[in-house]
Amino acid sequence: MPEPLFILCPGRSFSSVVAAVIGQHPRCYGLPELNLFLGETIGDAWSNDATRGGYPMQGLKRTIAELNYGAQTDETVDEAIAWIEARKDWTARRMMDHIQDRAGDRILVDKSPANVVHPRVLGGVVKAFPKANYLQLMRHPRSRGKSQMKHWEKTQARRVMDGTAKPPPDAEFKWQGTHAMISALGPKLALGQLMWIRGEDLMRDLKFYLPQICDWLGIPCDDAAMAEMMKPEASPYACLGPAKAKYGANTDFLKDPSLDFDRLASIPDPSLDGPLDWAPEELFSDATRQQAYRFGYR
Amino acid sequence: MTLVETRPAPAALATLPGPDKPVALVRFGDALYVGTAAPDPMGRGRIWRMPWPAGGAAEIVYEGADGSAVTDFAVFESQGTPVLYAATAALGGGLLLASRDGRGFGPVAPAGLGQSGNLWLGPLAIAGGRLVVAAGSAAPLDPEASGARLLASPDPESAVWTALAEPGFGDAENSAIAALLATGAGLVAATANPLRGFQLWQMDPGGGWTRRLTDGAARFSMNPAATALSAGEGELLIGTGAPARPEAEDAAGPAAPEVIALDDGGAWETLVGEPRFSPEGFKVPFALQAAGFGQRETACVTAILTGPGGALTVVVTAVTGATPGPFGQPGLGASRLWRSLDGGESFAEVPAPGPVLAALATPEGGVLAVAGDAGAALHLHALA
Repeated sequence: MPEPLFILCPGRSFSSVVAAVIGQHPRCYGLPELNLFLGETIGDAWSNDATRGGYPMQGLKRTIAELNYGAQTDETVDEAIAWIEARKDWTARRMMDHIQDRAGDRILVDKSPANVVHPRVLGGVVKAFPKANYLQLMRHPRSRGKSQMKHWEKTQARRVMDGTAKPPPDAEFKWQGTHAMISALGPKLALGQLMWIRGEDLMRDLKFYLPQICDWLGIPCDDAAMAEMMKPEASPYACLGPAKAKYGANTDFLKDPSLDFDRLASIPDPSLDGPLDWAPEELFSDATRQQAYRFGYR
Repeated sequence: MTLVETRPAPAALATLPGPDKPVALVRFGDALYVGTAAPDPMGRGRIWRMPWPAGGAAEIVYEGADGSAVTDFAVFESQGTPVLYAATAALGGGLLLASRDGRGFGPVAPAGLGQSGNLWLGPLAIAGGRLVVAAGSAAPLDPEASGARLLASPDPESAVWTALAEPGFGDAENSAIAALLATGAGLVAATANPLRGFQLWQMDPGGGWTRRLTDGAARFSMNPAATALSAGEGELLIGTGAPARPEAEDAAGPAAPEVIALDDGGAWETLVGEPRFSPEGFKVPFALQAAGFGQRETACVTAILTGPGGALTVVVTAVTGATPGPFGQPGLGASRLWRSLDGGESFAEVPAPGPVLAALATPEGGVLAVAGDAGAALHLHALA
């Protein structure tokens, strides 16, 4: 069986659409967010604070419903939950192996944001899959931060009044710390096992950069494969799921997964200079700027 | 796995007593010349001469003022006879020195070539019947460097200098000209650009410039300067390098150098380096060697020597500390030598005699200038 591809990035970095696009390659199988590595076992991950707080395992429920029971309905999700509950002692690796068996001889494409919440979690991924391919997906820290803050306002602001809102995230630190953690993987892996790409470049010119990614993964990129990748909406996970497992990726993507090439072509290039949009009294730190220069952001 | 040849590093041909660091080499007439920088910022740059290839004791033929360093040499025919030119860095302005006999050196132009900001002159090149001098405020790898001017004269002793290009080729973020090479296709200039990554410019016969590489060959600030240029077989070889950076303040981490080959058609590949997706396609190093030949520390390619039959020797020297003052050399650590006999498809490490700060290909072999606590030394290295 092929080694999986793990897309690593902080949330709000185009990962839902990128994972869905690559996952539609005939030799790949795009997964929703599984978030399996938050604990030693599926039971640990299932009950992890982070799972409860922000990484519900709806993607796993949808995947098992789809692969074990052939559809994503409330009934099959119930069956999937029971199936998973009976295997809470499984490791993440064993669960991935099961998914791989069901998906067949295709590269599993995982983009779970929980994989980069802590070096210990990321280390667990690498320990379980020491020969996997890892793609560090970049997005400009300003546009990613704005997206994260917009998401927070959308989901939390209405809770501010009743005091149940989560505090606003440190969007800059999330970008800098997460990418520093991912970059630190490089020396521990074989040459070319960890690659990076700017999401803006990829999304603006999918037809130029996807063949490079396919070349890296060792899979063909003929016209038929490219045509499939241009249809992320064809993924069984590129839509809202049944009521008992609705999500598993960026909600906006699930509501509208088709590629809008005009919009993608005009993704803006913001600047590292100037006040932070979400904290006008602050500028990007030197550490963030140095990290951003490394990936060609200005 | 690293393959290291078991034979020992070559014995020293000559030693230069004292703490001077040998940073420039040239052959002129029947002698080899070594330009030095002092280890402290207020020391004096010197030029040493030793008979070559006959061998013999080295002697000092020039000593600069306090706070100076010799940066580069070039041999240029002036008024019908070959003249050895040496560029220096100095607090009062870099000097261009000339010698017709290889023993007496004197300035042939006003300090800084007449511009007050030109404290550092060099590197030098000969192109289009002119002596070309890069000029700036500090060493090319100094984070404070600025200027990146390129001046030329068909008759350096006339003191008439013209700008070959806009400062920094019109890009204010090009902080210095880090390397020059005259090729059959025209003069090539490599910049230092700490934020965006180095650029490579080539001059056409009409005097116009074409940018042939930018953004540190799609590695951005991890390739902040091209520090070595060499003409290979049908291609230009580029070695990159980075100044010392305090790790605690630099989330980008250490920047190990690469070796890049650029062909006449403008296509480039890495021989040694970081695999990457790029605007020019998916790049995988031919030699399947990671940047820095697998050694992740911040370092510079200080020289690429070519030999017959596609032989290459790449000198990689670790950068261990910041530049001490405007004209001191960066803290340079151990060197590693990597030799390829197949045009860069594979490399094997060969023993290095110490920190190699300059190298020169000669018919007798590669001369390596090695710094040492007890004095600098010259070693001969087989190129094939």
